[in-house]
Amino acid sequence: MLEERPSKLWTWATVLVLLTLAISLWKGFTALDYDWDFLFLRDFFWIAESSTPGLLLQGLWGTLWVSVLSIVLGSAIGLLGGIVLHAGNSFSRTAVRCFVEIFRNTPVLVQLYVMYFVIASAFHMTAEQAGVATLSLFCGAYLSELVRGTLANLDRGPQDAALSLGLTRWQAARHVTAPLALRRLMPSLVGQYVSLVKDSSLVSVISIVELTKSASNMVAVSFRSFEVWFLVAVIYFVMNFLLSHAGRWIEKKMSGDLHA
Amino acid sequence: MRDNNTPAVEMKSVSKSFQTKGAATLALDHVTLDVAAGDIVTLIGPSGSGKSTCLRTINGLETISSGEIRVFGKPYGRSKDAFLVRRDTAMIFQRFELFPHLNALENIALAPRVRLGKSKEEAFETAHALLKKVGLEAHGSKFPRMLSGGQQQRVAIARALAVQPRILLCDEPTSALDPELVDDVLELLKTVASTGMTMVIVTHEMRFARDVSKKCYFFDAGRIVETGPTDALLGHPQSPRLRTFLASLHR
Repeated sequence: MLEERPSKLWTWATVLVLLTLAISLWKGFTALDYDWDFLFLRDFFWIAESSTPGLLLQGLWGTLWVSVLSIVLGSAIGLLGGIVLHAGNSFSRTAVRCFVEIFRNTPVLVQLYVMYFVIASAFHMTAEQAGVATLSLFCGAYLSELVRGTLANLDRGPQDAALSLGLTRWQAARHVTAPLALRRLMPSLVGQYVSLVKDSSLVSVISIVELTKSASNMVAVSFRSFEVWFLVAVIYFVMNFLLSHAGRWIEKKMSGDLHA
Repeated sequence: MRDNNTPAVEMKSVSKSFQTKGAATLALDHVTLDVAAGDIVTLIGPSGSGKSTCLRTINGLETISSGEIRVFGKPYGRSKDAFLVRRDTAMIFQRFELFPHLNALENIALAPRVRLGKSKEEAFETAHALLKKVGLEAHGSKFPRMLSGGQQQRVAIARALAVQPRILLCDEPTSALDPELVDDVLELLKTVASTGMTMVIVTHEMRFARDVSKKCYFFDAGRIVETGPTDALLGHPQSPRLRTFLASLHR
């Protein structure tokens, strides 16, 4: 019976926390005295008279392509950066290290402003290009460090075995090291991607049409900020929920053979 | 093609030093060693004596600081094309080092497919035959984690044989095995030895060393302390260091 006690303690603690949350929410909403109306949002999804997507769908599309493009480019940067940090010479390592430290230790918002107002104007880049470039570099900086850590902690044994069988370094990397590293990398990779989807909301400050920008436009038109932001939060949640579950599913599929 | 007069392995005054906290440690201290084609040679000695490092320099998994190594007459050392030499050698590791993401058959078939450019069917056919040879034909679709240590090591031996090496390097092939699994692996290595394969074996199994090898090298502190025919070396050790080492094994 000794083992029963801690588990019951956890249950009661959880109930207490949930109750506190529920009461605060209920009190908050009753005290608000606000006339909720979600129905008006319909028009922002689809404009019936012109048969075109509304602000919300336009924004969602913006968020999707900005995120996907930044994830793809950021992953490429991260892979390259991680490999250089792991295996490069001291000059290239220092260069990548500087890049990583700058992009990890400054706010993305500042990076966006610098990219858009300083660099983009010099190279005649559009706001979209500047936004995707910033997010890709930001994501790439984090991934570089992740890839480096994964490579450094990887067991050298299977790689030695591959080399000892006469495979070239490239063949060993392609057939043994990469698949093993990817399996290790998967959970933190998905975490980074989820972060990036949320951070993509920041590109609204350089007036790229994406979900957050659309939401503020919708608020400006309808004066109903509560409903709009709630809906937007739900959409971000659904996107990231799907993304992390897809990640977990791939992870399971890949490592099923490792932990069976 | 094969010239029997060319030694399989020639190491001339090979040294290797590690840099640890500013101080240089000599892992190999002027090691000179010869393996004739078709011979089986064992390397013995206490742990940390350099015998495993010596074995790993033969196929270039460890670089050397000075000296010369020739494998079938081909010189190499610090050069980056060690993989050319690795095409004559294959290796068995203490901790098996199977590819954890591939099943037993795929483990064996990988190098024939990637390196020898065999078709998928051909590579898997060879893998099947080899798996049967090591007595594991029923375990082809199992992943390394699902196999016992002894089974993993047998798959590793099949994987090494799949690239048709001229020299098989064995790095303490039974040290990580439970005692009851050791004999299976040693029997299998004896079978391989009986095919005329050139082998260099690092081992702590003195009975096995006596059974398979004609020549034996005793390592201590990175140096070859004593060498000679295995029977004589183990039966009548000359140096006090080897005598203490052999006595410690019998305790």
